[in-house]
Amino acid sequence: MAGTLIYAEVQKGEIKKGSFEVTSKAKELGGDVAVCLIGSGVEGLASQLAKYGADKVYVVDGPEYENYVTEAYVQAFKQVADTVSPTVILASATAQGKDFVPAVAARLGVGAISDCVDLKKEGDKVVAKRPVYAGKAYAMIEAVADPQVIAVRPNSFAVKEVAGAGAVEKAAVSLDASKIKAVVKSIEVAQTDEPDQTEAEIIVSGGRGMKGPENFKMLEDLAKLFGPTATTGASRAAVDAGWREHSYQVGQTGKTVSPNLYIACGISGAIQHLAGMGTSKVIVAINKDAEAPIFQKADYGVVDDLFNVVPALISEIQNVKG
Amino acid sequence: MNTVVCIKQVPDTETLIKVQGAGIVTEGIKWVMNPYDEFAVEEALQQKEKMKAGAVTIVSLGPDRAIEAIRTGLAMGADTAVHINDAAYYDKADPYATAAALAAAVKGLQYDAIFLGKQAIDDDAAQVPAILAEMLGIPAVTMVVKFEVAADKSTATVTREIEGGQAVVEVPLPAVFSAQKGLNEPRYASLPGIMKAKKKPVDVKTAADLGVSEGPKTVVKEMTLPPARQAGKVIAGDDAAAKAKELARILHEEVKIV
Amino acid sequence: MHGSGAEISREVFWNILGPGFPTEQVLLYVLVVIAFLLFFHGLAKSGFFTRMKAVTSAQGPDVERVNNAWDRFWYMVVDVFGHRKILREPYQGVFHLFIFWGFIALAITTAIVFLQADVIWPIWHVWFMEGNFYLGLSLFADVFGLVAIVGILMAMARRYFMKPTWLDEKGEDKVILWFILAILVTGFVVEALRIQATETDPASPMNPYIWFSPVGRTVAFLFSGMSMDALRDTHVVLWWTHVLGALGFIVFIAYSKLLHIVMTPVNIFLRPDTPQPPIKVMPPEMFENAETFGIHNLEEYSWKDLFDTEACMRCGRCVEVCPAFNTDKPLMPRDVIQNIRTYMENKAKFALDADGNYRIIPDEEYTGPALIGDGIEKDTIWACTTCMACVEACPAYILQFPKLIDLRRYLVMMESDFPAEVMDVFKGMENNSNPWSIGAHTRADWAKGLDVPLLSEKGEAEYLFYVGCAGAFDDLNKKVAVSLAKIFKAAGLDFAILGTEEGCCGDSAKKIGNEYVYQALAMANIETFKAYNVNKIITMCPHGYTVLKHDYKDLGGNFQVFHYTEILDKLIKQGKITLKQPIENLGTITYHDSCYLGRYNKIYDQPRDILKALKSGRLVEMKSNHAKSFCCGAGGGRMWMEEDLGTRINQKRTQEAEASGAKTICTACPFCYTMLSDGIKELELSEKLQAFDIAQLVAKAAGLDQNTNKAGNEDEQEAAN
Repeated sequence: MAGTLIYAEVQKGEIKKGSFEVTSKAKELGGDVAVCLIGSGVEGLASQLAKYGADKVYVVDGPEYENYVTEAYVQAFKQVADTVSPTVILASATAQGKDFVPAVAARLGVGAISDCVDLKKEGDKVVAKRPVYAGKAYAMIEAVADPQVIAVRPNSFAVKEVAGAGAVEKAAVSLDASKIKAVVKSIEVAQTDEPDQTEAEIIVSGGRGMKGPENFKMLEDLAKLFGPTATTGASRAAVDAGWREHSYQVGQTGKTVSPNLYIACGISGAIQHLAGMGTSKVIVAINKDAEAPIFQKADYGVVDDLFNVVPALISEIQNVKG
Repeated sequence: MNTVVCIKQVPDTETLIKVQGAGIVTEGIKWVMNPYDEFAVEEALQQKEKMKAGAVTIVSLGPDRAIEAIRTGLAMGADTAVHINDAAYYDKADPYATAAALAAAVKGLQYDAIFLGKQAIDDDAAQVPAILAEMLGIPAVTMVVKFEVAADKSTATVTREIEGGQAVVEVPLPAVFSAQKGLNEPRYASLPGIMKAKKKPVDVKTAADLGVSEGPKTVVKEMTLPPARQAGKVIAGDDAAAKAKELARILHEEVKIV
Repeated sequence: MHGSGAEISREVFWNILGPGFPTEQVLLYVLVVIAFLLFFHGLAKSGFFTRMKAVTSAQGPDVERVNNAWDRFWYMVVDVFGHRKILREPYQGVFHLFIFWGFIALAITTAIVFLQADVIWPIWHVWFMEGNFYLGLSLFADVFGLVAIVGILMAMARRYFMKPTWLDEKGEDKVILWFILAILVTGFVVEALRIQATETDPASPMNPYIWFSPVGRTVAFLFSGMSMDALRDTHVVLWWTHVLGALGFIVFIAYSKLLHIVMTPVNIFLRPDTPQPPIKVMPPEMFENAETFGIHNLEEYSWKDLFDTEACMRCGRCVEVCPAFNTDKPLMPRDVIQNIRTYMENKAKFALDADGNYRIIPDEEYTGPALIGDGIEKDTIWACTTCMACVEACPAYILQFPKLIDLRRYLVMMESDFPAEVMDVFKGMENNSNPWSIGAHTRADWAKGLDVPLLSEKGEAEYLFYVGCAGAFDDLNKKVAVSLAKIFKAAGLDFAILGTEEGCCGDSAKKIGNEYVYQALAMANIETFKAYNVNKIITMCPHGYTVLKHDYKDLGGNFQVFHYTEILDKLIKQGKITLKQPIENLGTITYHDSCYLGRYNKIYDQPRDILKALKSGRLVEMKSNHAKSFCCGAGGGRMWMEEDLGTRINQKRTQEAEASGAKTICTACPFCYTMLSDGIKELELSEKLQAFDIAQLVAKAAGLDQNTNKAGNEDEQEAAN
């Protein structure tokens, strides 16, 4: 089959937006678009994928897929891939995708291209564009052999609804349990409705200028106004100071994000931070130091005390929203 | 516990990157051990110290200059090293080919665990740990932030970072582990460590010596610099409130987010 | 009888000696001999000889201590008798001077009496203690005895009423002043009793001269009603009390801090006489062959390091001036010295074998208290800003903080044990040759658009402008570098910068204890300097100034190094910089002495002269200024460490500036500039206080502050639009 097979990721009973993004992109690139959906009790979700361009959805559903276990998922996916024999395999480069994609590629005996921000079709090949050297350069990469396994950074592509309903097929896969060696003993996920920073569309981030952990409440309030796709982030300075957990950290040693809007509050813009959010589509900086390097990167800069600007911005946005 | 740590020498995070064709200009670059690999080395050393037994072997693929990163690992306390010094192989190596060379080197070694950084900060691919495990036929656990090993060294119980939280995974040894920030605080090599490192044995091999001829599975066609971001617009206003109002208008009308 | 019968004199041993054989006199001298024997016994009992075994077993390298012996001797004599350093603190200085000279005078008097009564008279039967000489001596002894009492009372007033926080009180301190006072008072009472008995009678030939013993005469009024028998009985009792007290005092010296009477002059004689900063030199060869670096065992100190502890009399001057102590950090330089002394005694319990020989115990065998941790706490070691205020203040010429740097060296180089945040500093220095770890390729970015000559393009220049990391990378201090470049250009100075070829000077690494990284950085700079045949160097930062000027010599780098204030001062005086107009809105100006410019290099006047030449505001001094200046908190690598303990040093200094009534604080050091600017922000004093580097003000006064670099042009264009 000259087509694409997509790995669709499910979390908390929902298909991740990144999976829809790559599905839409696959449709745009042309050829048949198949999706492999793995999970426990996920069959009902399959039809959603069709909406974004899946011609066929292979569902691997069973209690053994309740938690993501690399080996189990790789085994299942490989069997689907063997059936489909796609030329391209796409996945969203979420935290799980980053674990899954190289493992699958290795199992298939091919190379993978990680964390791409753009894809371009050149003949039979998909040329992937991806940031390297912490975003200081971009590499155009293509795989030598099929299937070309590519992981795409969330928020890189828009989701596009298409007409037509794809077929849903329950894939018959068997697991070699003897090879599943890693056992998940427990999972602890923070009870938050906020999306992960790597996938959020809007991030309101705070740095040293926040002065203390208590002031992040204000950023959370602002993020909430932007809806469920918004979350908060933090610079290394704020994390090192113990004001925020490391999971909030955006930057070279934290998360690499590409949201549609990144609002940096009291962040000076050290290169380590810019490496993590430089690919954001719109950057707003609020900082009272007019010479903070963040303003070099910001599309919109507000030179003023964030403790005055942010509360005012919250009430203004409330006004705009009515 | 015997451990292998695979490390890579990469440009310092602050180094100016200039592109040239499908690569970068290597002149003037300050090379360092990949920062995530420092967590890997540190963890191996801590496990060895905790068990009061075993050896830590550094394995690295890279040209002549990579010996500096290897010596850094030895200075931190690793015992021996394998340097796959093969510039021709290295120049073309993608994560797959890199893993193939490392796997070949590791095969001859005694190990209960293999540690790597979660990714190298040059190509940022984060693939080698998984591919290496696949090639060695052992499990991989990535993004490890906590590592504990059973007294009999049969299993390791590790905590890995997952989206929005952490998962505790038990895995039989040997296995591959990729280190995420937070796993430990890498040590600063002591001066005696630096002195001793100069005398520690480094086994130098070529790809041919190891019998690897694996070609890369992906190729870089071109390297470009990101477009310079245009100087942004500074929002004017008499006071913070006025500026906030204007920003809200922009977010609403221009950015169309609100 | 002791006395010639001369009329204007007195009988020595009046009322003491009985008729016939002078039993009491012999007894006295037997007691004197016993006192001196007990003194030596006391030294042994108080651990002095044990400590000396440790001192002589010390293995650390030391510098020349007895070269130029004559100069050293005179320096000591002048210092001891002139109180050169002690008078630095007027109150303490004066009371010590009073007690000191009181004692000297009384000792001289006693010696003269001894010579007269026990040497000259018995042998030659000559009596010279008569007439005007006797009267003069009487007056001399009385006046100085009184002076000593005044000194003691002043010391008591300090200890019991002023109670400075930095003054400690051990058991001996409760006794010493009272003891001395008792000796002095009994002396006067004995004299008064004698006078009452022998001189108040108008028939006495001494009666007309009775006021030549003014104190004794005055006190004698108290006894005017007493019978001769009562006077004599009281006198004999008190005389012996006084004598036993004085002899007891001699014994007490051995047991107490009074030993400083002997040890401190010795230490002054042995003081380092080089202009080098007092940190020990580590020869580069060391890194090739030494097994251990820095100090973690007592015996790794030099003998002089350990001997220093004998000279310390716990005066606390070093504590009084210590920025760490004054901001509630666990560091008191005095206690560092005292703790080493105590540690010497504790360690001796392990180190002395059955024969009393001092043995160096290998680490593996040693089970006693550790020098680092038990002897001196790590928080103490890291609290030091190396401001050198302790060394400057110490009247005994003890080197306090350098002993901590030795310990840092061990912790850093051997144990990799240092505050976590320092890791990034070292890595930054190693990888990008600056403590911020900003890309080395951006080192010359501050100069973009300014047309600052590069040595690599110019080939040679009279002066190398060594900018340093702060001027090159720190946004605040880049402005200072820009100002300097503009001034140098305007003054027509033949200068150039190294641009990206410049490297970190290494001072912070050195003071944090990472001599290895320091030397690597220093060697790289020296090599670059030599490659360009650099001879004269201007530094922007006093820290770079210090290492380039002094420490690079040890690594083979001999250059003429100037701090920019020296150059600007000269250029202004030569008329090469025209200060066009006074700067407005500076208000009253105060100058903050950088430790490394002031105490380390004695540059106090040039910065002030420059500020005066600006004619832009009255110059006032802060409470601590010149050699007594209070640190900004950034030295010794503290710039890069969190200040978790106590309050913040920079805020304390900023408050001092505020208290001076100044509106503008001027600095000549990038670290100080940063710390004080932060202090103003942290204390929210921006309305009342502003900080500038002197170079910025000179540029402004010379009309050079218009932005002529690229960014500035854009600003101007925007303004024009």
